[in-house]
Amino acid sequence: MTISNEPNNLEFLPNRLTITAKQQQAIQALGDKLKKETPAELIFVADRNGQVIASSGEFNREKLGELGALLAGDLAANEEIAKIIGSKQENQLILRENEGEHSFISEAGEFLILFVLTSSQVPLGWARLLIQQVSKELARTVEPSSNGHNPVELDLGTEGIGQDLSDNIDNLFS
Amino acid sequence: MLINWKQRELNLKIVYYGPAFSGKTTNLIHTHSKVSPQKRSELVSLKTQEDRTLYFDFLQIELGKINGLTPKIHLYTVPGQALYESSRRLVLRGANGVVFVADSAEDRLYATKDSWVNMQDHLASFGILPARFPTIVQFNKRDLPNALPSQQLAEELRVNGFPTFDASAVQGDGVLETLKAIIQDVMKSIQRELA
Repeated sequence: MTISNEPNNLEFLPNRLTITAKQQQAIQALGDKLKKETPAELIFVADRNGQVIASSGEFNREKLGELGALLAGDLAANEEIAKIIGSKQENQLILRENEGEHSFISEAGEFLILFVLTSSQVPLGWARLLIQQVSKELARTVEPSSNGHNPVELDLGTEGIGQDLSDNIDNLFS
Repeated sequence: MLINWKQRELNLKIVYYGPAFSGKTTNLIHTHSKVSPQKRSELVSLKTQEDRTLYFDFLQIELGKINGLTPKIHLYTVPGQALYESSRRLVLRGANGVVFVADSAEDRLYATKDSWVNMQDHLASFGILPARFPTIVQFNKRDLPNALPSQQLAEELRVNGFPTFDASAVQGDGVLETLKAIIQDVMKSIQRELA
């Protein structure tokens, strides 16, 4: 079993988002730029299921998965609240004002979530403006229309993943 | 599913679904206790004041590389209480596979059947054909004196074709076998999808 060459583009299928190295770099660059311009303490990009794509800033990397799951849950719950109360749902932005810092959870198109943590010294309007701009740019990095039509080729083998996977799972519990 | 080529990661989402008190969270607690800390996240639980699942539990485990890709498995539970219907649907969204945790107790049969049908309805509403979706059925609480025979549960639920496992999550029996089966099932499904 081998992994085929990395595809040039991404393709969306139900429940699937593929990020190429080039797209990952673009997302990371947008995050780094936003961190610098805001300035922000932490920038975090995940897919809508909370699966980590990129981060910029000091944060315990082992906690990123947990953060992603909670952010995705938070945004999803807010979407449902918006539906129930009849609010417009496009480009949702959730702001939390805390004593020393502010946090923003922003919908970045259909597939991504952007989380930004700033000092409370950063003007809210300024941060919001930048976050909304970057959210739109992030969304464009994974737009189906920008990806061409090359199929994703992830060759996990044709005869079953078999023993490798079985051993790997057993190793989890050893 | 998220495939990240630069980080060489394959992220998968597996959801434990089932009626209230069937043992979904207990499955994750046991898994968390058995996986070495280097290969898992902390267990995140959003609970009510009565210690019931409010939104979801979450645990991430990381497998060794397969063909140069690191599979990261995101395990979620749904809240079982009837009140949290919307939350169950949200958590189920984007799943790559499900473990249905059935309560074997005779007096929970109706709730179990209701939850099973409810899960399939949600999957169908996402455009997923439930019969072809990676699903493992776990008959939990086999240690109870009033547990229905597994065969009867399988017939009542009409689990036709889905793998089933007997378990007593509170004692740790059958938990890891169930997890292993759903991971294998999901990976095989991805192979088929990408072939």
